[in-house]
Amino acid sequence: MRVSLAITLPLVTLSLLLLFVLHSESLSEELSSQAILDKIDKMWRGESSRGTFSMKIKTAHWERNLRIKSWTKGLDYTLIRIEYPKKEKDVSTLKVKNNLWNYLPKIKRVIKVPSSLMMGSWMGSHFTNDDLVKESTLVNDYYHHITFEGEREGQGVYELTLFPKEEAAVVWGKIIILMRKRDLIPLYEVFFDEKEKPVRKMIFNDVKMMGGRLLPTKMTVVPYDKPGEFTEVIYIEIAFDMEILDTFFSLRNLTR
Amino acid sequence: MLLYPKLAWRNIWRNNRRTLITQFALVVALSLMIAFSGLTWGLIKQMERNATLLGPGEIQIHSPGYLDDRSIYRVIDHPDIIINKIEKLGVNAAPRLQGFGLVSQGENSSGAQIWGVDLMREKKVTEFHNHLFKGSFLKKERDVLLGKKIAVTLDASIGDELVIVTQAADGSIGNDLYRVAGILSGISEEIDRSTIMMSIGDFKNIFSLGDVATEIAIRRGDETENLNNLRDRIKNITPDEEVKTWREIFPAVSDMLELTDVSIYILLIIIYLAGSLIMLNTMLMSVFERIKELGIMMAIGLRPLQVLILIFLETFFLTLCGSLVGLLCGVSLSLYLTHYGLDLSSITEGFSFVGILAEPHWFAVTNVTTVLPPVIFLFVLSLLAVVYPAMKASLLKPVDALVFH
Repeated sequence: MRVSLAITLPLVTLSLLLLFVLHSESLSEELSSQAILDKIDKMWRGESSRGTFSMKIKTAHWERNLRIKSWTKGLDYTLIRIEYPKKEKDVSTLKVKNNLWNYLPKIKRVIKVPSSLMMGSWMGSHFTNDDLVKESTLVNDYYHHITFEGEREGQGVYELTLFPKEEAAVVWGKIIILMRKRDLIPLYEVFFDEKEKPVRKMIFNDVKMMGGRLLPTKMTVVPYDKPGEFTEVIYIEIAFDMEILDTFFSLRNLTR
Repeated sequence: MLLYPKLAWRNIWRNNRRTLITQFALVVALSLMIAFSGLTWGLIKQMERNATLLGPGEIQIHSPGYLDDRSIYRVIDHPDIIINKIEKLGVNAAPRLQGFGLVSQGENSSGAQIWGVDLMREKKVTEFHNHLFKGSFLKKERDVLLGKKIAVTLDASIGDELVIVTQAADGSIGNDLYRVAGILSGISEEIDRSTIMMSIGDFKNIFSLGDVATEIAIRRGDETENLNNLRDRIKNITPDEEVKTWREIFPAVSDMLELTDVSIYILLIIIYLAGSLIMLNTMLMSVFERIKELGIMMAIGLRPLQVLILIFLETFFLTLCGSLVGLLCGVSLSLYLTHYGLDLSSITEGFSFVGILAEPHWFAVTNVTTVLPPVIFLFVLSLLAVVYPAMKASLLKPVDALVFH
């Protein structure tokens, strides 16, 4: 089964969005966390997507609304293009393997984002550049187990706790994922730093059919250290599994 | 009463050769002490200068809380009003803006601390424009100056085009093209590695800012004015903002420089002690050489106290002569070093100390504080050094002295 996802946001998280597909399969009671994550990772392979979403960023000092188009192919390729507002129209980000470039149409220049800035904010949002590039897979880079199974918030849920493997080059010290038991759609995800202090929470809402699949169409990132700030992503449209050539994800196309 | 000075004066010159050798030793010691003291003060002054005039300036004004959270949202509104008031005091002031950005040249890119500076006023407050490794200071719009190491990271040279991308104050993506006008010489780790300067107008454009500044850097018009007094005077002008001297903003640097002061004092005292040992040696020799002579004088009625006075007077004259000549030589040497300096650039490129640059071309300072202490110290130590031989001489028994070999 080939599944794809049209977004540019943290791949790790995005993968979770795909969990909805699992609902079509019979979920046995003994489904292990390993199996859940493994399925997510498997779903990633060889997929492609094209989507449009809006991004609302609110900080202590300003609030902005962006409309963004994105294309992805497998794990390695992502192209994001800002459609709105006018000032940033056609500002684009290309991710090929571990490299990240930004294209700035105003000055017609491409800038490579240095690795020292991977934890920097992507276009002012509460997503980091690393969220875009990191191709760590949950199943490969984290130890994971179900830490809770039962009723919470009025529905049956699984809570998964992930710790990074020693050798994994990952940013987070711990991740907690809460998902609906019936269709494995994630409810929220909490990211902790290496001191196990919560850093940010990603909340998933508005589960509905889109692109032929049931998925949460709204995602909100809330940083713990900046009360009142958030970045909200709402899918406008999304389509999966179309043919996109690798050459589409080129510097040349970035500056199109 | 003139008998003792006369006697002492004649005693000194009875043995010309011994006296001249002593004088020579004194002159050399004093000259070196003065020159050394001038050079070390020069080093401290230079580092203090680099810590202020190649960085923050001497006093800074910020919006309260900026120093704890250096954000482009904690700004001073309408800095020109404050600057005009400060300039009326005869003090130099320059507005600045600082923010973070991504800089790229060709294939290379790096995060950078970006400074927006006032092209005219910055030159009156800091010495960056006299501290260029290559190229020239900012002259026009879109010129940028690079720190020495970030220029290497970006592989940028004069005339190259740079791209800077920032998160502007309104959340939008600021981006523009600039031209490398100059590269700064080594200053401090922080500035070398991450600083890029541009005109404050360019900064406001790329960061979408209005009539604001994140800091106002200030330099005294009169260098003798006490910094804390000036800070208080400026505080009266802008009661709503935070006014601090560089020592208050960078206590670690200030403390280290003060510690350097202390260690230099200790070094000077050691050198002075070595100088006064020469004095002790000479006086001991001259006393022991003349034991027979002193014995005769005591035999004809000179009392111990009178011998003591005589020897102290001799030392005083000896030191006085030596000091005068030594002062002359020392001050000339020190003035030479003040003017031409000691150029070590063939040996070293300069070194960084506590993050502050010590330049390879080293200039001395010549003033009362560098000249007077060595002289006073030499006098005091000479007179102390002679206590032992003088006591020894005054306690001689004439009979023993006469048969002393």
